[in-house]
Amino acid sequence: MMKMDSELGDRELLAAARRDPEAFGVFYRRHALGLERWLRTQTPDLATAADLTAESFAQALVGLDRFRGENDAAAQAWLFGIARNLVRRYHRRGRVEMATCAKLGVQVAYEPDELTELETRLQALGRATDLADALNELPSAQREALELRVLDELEYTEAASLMGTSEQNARMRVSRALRTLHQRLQGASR
Amino acid sequence: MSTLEPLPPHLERLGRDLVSAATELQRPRARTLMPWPWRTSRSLIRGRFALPFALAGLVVAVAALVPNLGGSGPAPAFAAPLVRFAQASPRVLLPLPGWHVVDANEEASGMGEIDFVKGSTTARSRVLDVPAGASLYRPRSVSGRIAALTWYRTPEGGLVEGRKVSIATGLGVRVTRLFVEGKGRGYLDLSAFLSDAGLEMRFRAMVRNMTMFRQELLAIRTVDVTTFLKAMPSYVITSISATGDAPKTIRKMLHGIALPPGFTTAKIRSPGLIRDRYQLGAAVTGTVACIWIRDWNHARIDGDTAAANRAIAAMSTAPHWPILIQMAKQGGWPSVLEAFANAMKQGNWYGRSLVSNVNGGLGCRALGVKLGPTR
Repeated sequence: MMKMDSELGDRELLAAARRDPEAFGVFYRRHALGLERWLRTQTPDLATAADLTAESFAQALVGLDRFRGENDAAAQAWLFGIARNLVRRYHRRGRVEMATCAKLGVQVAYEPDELTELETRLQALGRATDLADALNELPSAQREALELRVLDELEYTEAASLMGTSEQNARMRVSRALRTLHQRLQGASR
Repeated sequence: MSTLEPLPPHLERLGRDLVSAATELQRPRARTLMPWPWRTSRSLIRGRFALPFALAGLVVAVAALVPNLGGSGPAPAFAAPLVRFAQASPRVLLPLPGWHVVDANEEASGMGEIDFVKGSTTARSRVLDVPAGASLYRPRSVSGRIAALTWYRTPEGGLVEGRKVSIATGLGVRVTRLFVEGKGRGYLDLSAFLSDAGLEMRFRAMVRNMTMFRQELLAIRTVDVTTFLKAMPSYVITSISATGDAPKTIRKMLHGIALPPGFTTAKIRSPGLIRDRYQLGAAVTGTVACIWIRDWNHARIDGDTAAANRAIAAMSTAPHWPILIQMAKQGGWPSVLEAFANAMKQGNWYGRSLVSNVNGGLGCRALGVKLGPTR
């Protein structure tokens, strides 16, 4: 696992996870805290953020076959895209839906003390992930194209149809969005 | 990769669970994880009502589609509950060749659904409202063959989600939002959101491409009451007619239930339009439970320990309510309600606000019961 952890990128991990559960575990370890930290900024309490974290990863797990991103930025965007959709649904419905966790038999269990301690830790860590920020800062046309292609997994022709633009234009928007995310993430890691 | 931060305990446990689940998924198995889009649609919206279980019972006896009730003669006289049912719904049909209605329903909350299928259905597949020969776990096999129109009215805002679009429909209004529910090889599962005459609607369909989806949207039509009822399957007609004496049924359902002070059957919202016994039971027991929890909430805030304890004691009898015992054979509603009853003793729902969770879990707001402050 250490070799996998140190050598494989996120896109490769998601590809490997279709056959190797440990690869998904590594992907999870890389992003669980970051995702929960970001979700904490979107939700009223950490318990809700914890539930959404679990459901996001559960949906990612059952949807591994559908991930077709071409680089690490796309892999992270895919995960955060799932989470963003869940946040939207949470705000609209006023409750967290844990259907995929339930199907997988995954439960979110914690002691209240654990969450209190984590809350303190998250506050100390400060800002949410750079990726979430970067996604939010993309021009809306690019973000929409990226979501349709990477999160909703539409073909370019279908994404273009929904956006009322040409397939070539849709490809360009996705490409630019991914390049922006990639640059942003590289800058953040320096 | 740089050194990772240690995960907090709950995330460590979650990670182990997910890897275990991933291991399970690797094993050869029947494909039971593929969400069935048809009933997923229903459950996403309804959440608290286990309609599929209830439907199974209805379906056994009737597999045939509705005969031509009216023929070319005068319009048939439909019973009052049927007319009320039709008037309350948007009366939308999908008059494309081969398409027909396989189910229609409305709940106490003023939410309903019309299910459409293209092609024949069988007694077996009717349970799930899927076309004959379709595979339960292969959405592609129903691509272009199933659709549903869900509607509801609420003062709280819509079901609306997804991306802004503007797509023409046969209803004279345009789709304003489109949401991709799912996608796979050979199918798109799409929801289109639109509003018309105070109703919010979601048209959801499994299609092969956007062109097919646009065609279906352009084809939907609003029809008059008679045309709408003539398009209903016979078992819908039969079951709605049977609810003509809903107040009597409700009174029977309330037998053996600890009722809140001042409770009357008038508190139960729109019972005449619920044609399914399980759903009616959920509306009846849900309304009672919501009122008890409202009273408990107010008593706590007011510091009235005696009143709070009365509500707790009343709800603790829920496992013995006869209607819940009957419903437990069909679905999970009784266990949900009893879980909330138990949580009243703790004063919270797993460390969170019980009141806000009850609102979501039992749908108190939709049942017309305001629970009060959530803290």
